[in-house]
Amino acid sequence: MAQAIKLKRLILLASFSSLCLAGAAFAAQPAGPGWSQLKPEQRQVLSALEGEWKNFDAERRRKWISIANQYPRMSAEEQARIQRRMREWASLSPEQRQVARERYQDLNSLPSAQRQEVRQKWDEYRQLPEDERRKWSPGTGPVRN
Amino acid sequence: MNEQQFGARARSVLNQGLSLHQGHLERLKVAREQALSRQRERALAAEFLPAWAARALGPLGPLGGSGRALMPLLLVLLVAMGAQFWLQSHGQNDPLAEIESAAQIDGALLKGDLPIDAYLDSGFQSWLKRSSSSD
Repeated sequence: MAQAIKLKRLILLASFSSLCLAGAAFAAQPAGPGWSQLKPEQRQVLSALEGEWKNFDAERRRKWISIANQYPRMSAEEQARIQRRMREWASLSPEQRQVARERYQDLNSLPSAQRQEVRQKWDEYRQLPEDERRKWSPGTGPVRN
Repeated sequence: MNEQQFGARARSVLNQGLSLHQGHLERLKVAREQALSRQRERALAAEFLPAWAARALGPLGPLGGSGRALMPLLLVLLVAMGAQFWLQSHGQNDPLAEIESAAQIDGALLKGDLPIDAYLDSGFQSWLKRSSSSD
């Protein structure tokens, strides 16, 4: 009888502990794979981010791992662009990244000829004198800091 | 003397009646009430959930009493499965799929021929709108 009560208490304790653990797991997502857990080829692609990797949350880590997995299918020029822009992208605030994504998606929804035109316009805009370009920035300046 | 023999002896003594002082009787009464109260609390904690779960889910046949005690574990599993189903049916699908989709956008943006500045330079955005409308 005393043993049955002990067993029952043990089972109740185990149930309560599993509930707490499940709740804790739900509330605090794991940090995602650590740098040393990445495959060697992923580490090589993402080497520019090694120092910051520990500060990334699970979602950002998984995004970068996915980009590293896309990398072998990219052209040499695209790979070079990714390498050049990786740190810059990682240093942006989440809001800035979101703005850039939305504008990219807007641009990507345009017909090919218009997309090409925007690329030409960017080159044209970069040729404008600094004063001229500043005139087009709203009072608060560009979105980038 | 084992526990059963001691119980039988105590019962026989008690059946003959005890002449105790009023103070002792009061202390016994208080101790009894405290013990009953503690027992009720334990019973509520230990019995309510398994009993409720057993009623809700029915007997577990060969598991018998152990099955009843295992009910809380089953409840936890059911709640977890329900939560997963609810999340899926409310559009919060597989978070990994969402991350993968966002990574595709980020990857495409980063490998694209427009630099990141082009998307963030609000001057360019205004100039683009103006020059497009004047074309």
